[in-house]
Amino acid sequence: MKTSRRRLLQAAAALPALPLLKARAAVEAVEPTPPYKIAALPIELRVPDLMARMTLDEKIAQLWALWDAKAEIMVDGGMDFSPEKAARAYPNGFGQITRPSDKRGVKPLDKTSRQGAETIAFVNAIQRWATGQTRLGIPVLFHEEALHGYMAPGATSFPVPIALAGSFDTALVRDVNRVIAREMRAHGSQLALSPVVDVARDPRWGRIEETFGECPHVCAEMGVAAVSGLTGDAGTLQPENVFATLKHMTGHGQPQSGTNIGPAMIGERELRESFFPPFREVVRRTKIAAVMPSYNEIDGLPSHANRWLIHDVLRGEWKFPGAVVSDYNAVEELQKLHHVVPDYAGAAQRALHAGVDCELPDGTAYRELPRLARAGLVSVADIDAACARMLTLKFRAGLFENPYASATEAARITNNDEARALALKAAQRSICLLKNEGSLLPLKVGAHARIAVIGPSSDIARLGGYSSDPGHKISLMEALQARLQGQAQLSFSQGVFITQSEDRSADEVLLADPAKNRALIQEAVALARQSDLVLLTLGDTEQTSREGYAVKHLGDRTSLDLVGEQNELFDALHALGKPMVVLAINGRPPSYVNVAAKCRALLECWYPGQEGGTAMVDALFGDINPGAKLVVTVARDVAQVPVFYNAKPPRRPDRYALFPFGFGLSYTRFELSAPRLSSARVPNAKPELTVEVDVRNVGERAGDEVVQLYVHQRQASVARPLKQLRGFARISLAPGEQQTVRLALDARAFALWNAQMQEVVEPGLYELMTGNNSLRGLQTAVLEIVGA
Amino acid sequence: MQPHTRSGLTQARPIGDKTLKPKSRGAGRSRLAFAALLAATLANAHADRISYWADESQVAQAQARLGLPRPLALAASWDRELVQQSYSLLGAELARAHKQAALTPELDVLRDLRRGDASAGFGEDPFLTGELGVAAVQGLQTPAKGKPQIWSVVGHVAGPQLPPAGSDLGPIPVSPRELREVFLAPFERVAKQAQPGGLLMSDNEIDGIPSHGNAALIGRIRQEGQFKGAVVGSTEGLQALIETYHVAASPEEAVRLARRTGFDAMAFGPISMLTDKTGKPGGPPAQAPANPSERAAREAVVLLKNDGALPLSKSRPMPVLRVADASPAALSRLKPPAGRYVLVLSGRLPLPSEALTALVEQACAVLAGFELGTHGEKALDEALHGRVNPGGKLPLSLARNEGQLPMFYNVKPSAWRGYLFDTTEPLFPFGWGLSYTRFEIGAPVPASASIRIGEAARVSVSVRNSGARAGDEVVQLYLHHKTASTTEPVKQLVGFARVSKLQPGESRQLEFSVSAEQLSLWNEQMQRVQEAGEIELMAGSNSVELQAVTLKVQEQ
Repeated sequence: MKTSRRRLLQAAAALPALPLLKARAAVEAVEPTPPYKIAALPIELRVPDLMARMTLDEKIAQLWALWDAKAEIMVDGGMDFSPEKAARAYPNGFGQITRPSDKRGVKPLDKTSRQGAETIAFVNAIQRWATGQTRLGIPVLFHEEALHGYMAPGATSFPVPIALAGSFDTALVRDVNRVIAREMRAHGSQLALSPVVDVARDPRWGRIEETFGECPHVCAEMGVAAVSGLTGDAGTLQPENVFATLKHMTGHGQPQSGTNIGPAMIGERELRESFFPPFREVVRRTKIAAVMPSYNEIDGLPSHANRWLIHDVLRGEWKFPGAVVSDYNAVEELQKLHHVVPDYAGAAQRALHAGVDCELPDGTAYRELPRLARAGLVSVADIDAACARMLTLKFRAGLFENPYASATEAARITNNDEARALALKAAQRSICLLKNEGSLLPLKVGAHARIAVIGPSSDIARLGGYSSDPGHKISLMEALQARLQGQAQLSFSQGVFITQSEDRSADEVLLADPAKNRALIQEAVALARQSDLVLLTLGDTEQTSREGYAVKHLGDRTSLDLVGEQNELFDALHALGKPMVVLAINGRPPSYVNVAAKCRALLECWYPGQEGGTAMVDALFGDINPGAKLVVTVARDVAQVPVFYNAKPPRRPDRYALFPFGFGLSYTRFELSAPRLSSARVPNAKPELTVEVDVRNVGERAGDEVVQLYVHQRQASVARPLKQLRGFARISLAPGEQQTVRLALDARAFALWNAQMQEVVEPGLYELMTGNNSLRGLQTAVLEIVGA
Repeated sequence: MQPHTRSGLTQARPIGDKTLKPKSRGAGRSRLAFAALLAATLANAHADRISYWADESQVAQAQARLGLPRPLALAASWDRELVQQSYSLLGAELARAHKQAALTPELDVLRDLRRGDASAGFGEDPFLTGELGVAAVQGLQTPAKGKPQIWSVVGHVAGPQLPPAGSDLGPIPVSPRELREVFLAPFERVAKQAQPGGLLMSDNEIDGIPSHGNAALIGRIRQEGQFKGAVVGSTEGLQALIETYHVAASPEEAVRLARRTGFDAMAFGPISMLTDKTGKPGGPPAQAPANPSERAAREAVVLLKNDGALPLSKSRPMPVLRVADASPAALSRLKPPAGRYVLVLSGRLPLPSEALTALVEQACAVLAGFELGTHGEKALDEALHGRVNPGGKLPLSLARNEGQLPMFYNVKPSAWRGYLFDTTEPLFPFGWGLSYTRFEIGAPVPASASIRIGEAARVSVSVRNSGARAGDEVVQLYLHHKTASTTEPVKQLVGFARVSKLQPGESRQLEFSVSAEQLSLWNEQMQRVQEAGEIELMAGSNSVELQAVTLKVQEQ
């Protein structure tokens, strides 16, 4: 019996053209288990087998998610799953649960989260019902936020993406995302709404901290690393992996006037050259499962209604096989915000036709689909295709075999020693040294007997907007106490408060009282006067730059300088003439011209994650040597915006910026050789070569350098950027050590979209520029690309 | 690094005849002449300009000589007839100086004050720019001896010129549908209604394609704009192909590119290149037209704010703060009076700044007139003292600070969600301007509750002077598509009329017709269509305080 079944399965697998009904009949004759439940069968057979058994209503239900609607499946007055209510409310099942870790749907409103074991119990109860008590036993897909840590209580919190990208360490980003995946999957969720690969070109935009910065190449490489870490490199999802969702296609990072979800008036060539590449590269190189269209419109078409974007480009040109999931409420917004359809029914029609497979978070508009399908107003083929893609995810995740999570296992691996060590390493490698006059840094333990620790982020560990409470977290002050016990007298003074509350969910943001702040400044000055060294934190809070997700919950800004009385605090302390180190704690770099000009030492620490305090202390005292670089150009003034390094001529805005893209100092010094090309002439049919740069540590300390390779085409058929980053490598060198960095280039480094909108590599001369930032000291070699 | 200097031209080698020989498939004489002209022009980039052309600065000088306000100030009058008279005078003046073509008016829609010279255009709105552009071209091309006295060459296709080198600004970020709806719209209106002699291509690039190498753009203007005149290039534009955009390595390549692109003439090249296409102009009129500059200055004064302090009277003295330079640097040196004061803004339109916003907010009344010409001071004085009742309206939105830029009123619905610690409201909205009297503008009354696709929407709007003084009011009509297949602006100007000298108690009835073309949009397939559905027509005295009526648009 076993043998004959295996033979049948082999036959089924080998003959995909075999009519499915026949295959199923053959299998059923021997074994009552339907093929879709047989793990050994290929997914391409299991999906159609299951779909052939599904009613139209069951198929549509797979496109729905439940968030507020979780109320319909939870016991009255509680937060436990109710199979009876679920069966009543969803006789045809449902596809997905939105954020099982939150208490959405619990009445009265409860903004707290479930603890890990509670989430797992909730997930398992739903899966038991879905697999055991629905007609076809289809398991449920669970999605969660996971931008720089599984966003639920107790999980490890890593530095925000703009910081992580600054590490220029793709292996680190992959490792971080492996831990995120492991912790999230252990809690029963399979689809992470991460990473964000939007090219960010406007620092007014509060979501900039969620991005990998302004460079398409960095966004692409970091995106590939993140997806590879989250999802793994196998076709099926391993038990420690989760699916990733590429966000947000596209143009989200250049909103008009800097307000979130604002229109992106971007031409097709610019889309293809600057905004598409991260999405395209991730689709090309990883097992990416899902893509999320953006809230914004591009030139009159909201992305959730943009069939060209989703159907023609993503699925057609790039052959993306996965699912397209909506952003929260974005399908409804086709009506409510963009007014391109008269009602939710129209929104559902338009989004489904454009290629959006499932609607998050609550499937409000897609609940119109059964009626629309019966009236012939949407194509059943479109519903089938969407359903097949959503089911494929469930099969790929192995949910038909094991949909459950284990609380014991989750507790064992979540935020464990290994994860915490990685969080520390990630923070250490994300800290960027922007200024170090007279080598004030690194500090020597014992050199300053009395240290004043001042500032609004000194005594609190800031984690960024997309964070939960990791349980463990360490502030700068706590880390200093741990490091310096007995070796210096540490005193803390608040200096100023930035905001009146630390409640990240609060809609209204109230700045701290200036009068109270001025009194605090006096206290801080008094303390600093008695001290030998001042460590000053400045920057933002998670309230002052954040996702402005509603008119009532704003996050974008018109001024980019430090908020409130922070400049006054800095000036008052600076006037004392004491040695002072400024540590910037923020999600986007401030345009703090005053501070940058006057301070002696400046570390951009970002929101460095739960172990950030320790990492900052390590950087201050030279236990590590900062090696990160900026992944955004820092504007001097908001009037410069948009300002980015890869502008087209005659723009050279980065020359006037406060800090250029790719910039970051070290406690040691490096010498970089001119670039050497493996070949000075390559054919345009195969423009492949290696660029070598010798890097020597000519200073006294071990340290890291990021070698950057920029390409500029001297003459082309269309206007080209002044330079585009096409390769980078971060290396560690001992004092006196020299290494050769090799960076490989291929057609992607040279291709452009010509006047006929064809992607071509044009013969001609190309400047290959190498250095350790985008602006100064670049050394050039010229490459000739010759035609056939 | 690339050399981005102007030195490339002087280094360019002379062009021999060989490179200019027509290909064997037989380009005609004019082609050859054109190529030679381009080459000659390129090689003589810095040589004296040929005198039949009036360039932008000569036009501006003539305007100044005649005492006329700058174009932006003329636009603040919202008075088509005044604009036509002003340009008729200008054209006569230039024709008298033996000019046959003038590079004016500029129809660049200015959505971001940081880009380009605001005073040279008619503001931020495509319709206002188009309507005043039609008036300006008709004025400039006033017939003399049966022909236009001079040819108008309108610029710049498409979009504002690039700002000066070294600025932190650059290629204009425009997407294809936006290009049609906003930036090309005025050119299309002017081409269809006023037939200017030429169109001057811009020096900028759109999405990687410099306008001087953008054959598709020229084709679109000829086709969609039904433009019959000459497409005119500039030396700077051709230079930029080589030196800025690096799409041509040498003058020869730039020539080949321009040839393919479809230019008819070069600004400051032989005028015959233009007149071969358009015919020779008629020359100066026998009698010079009347000079409307005094009236123009009066009509362009805008009363931005008034808590009752204005007009000034002897019984109510009030300090008047006159600011002719409202740049942040100048304002930082300024000491506003401690108490109540009236602010008078003149000179160049300043970039937005917190300092200016504070100055305006502390003032009890603000009167503005930017570059009003010879009679500016007098006009402001008359308004200040109530000898003239101001009736001008802002032709653009004034932002509160640079962090709000770009700031324009006709945004898509997803713009302006909001800022932390700041507002998305402008300091003063588009179309804004007060009066010393009160006007009551009624809700628009449609001729019929529904129209069919292809029909114009007709509404009438009443305006009544319910105050105690005579005055002018600009009644403005805006359109909003409630639902459309592509996103549409929250409102867009589709009609306006300046009602002059309305006496206290007097009413007038205004009829507006919004054409089928104005009601159309560019759909997902980039076809211009009119869609069934509901539209709102909104009338009022500015872009904010509006009363609406809803009309159904039905299938034919």
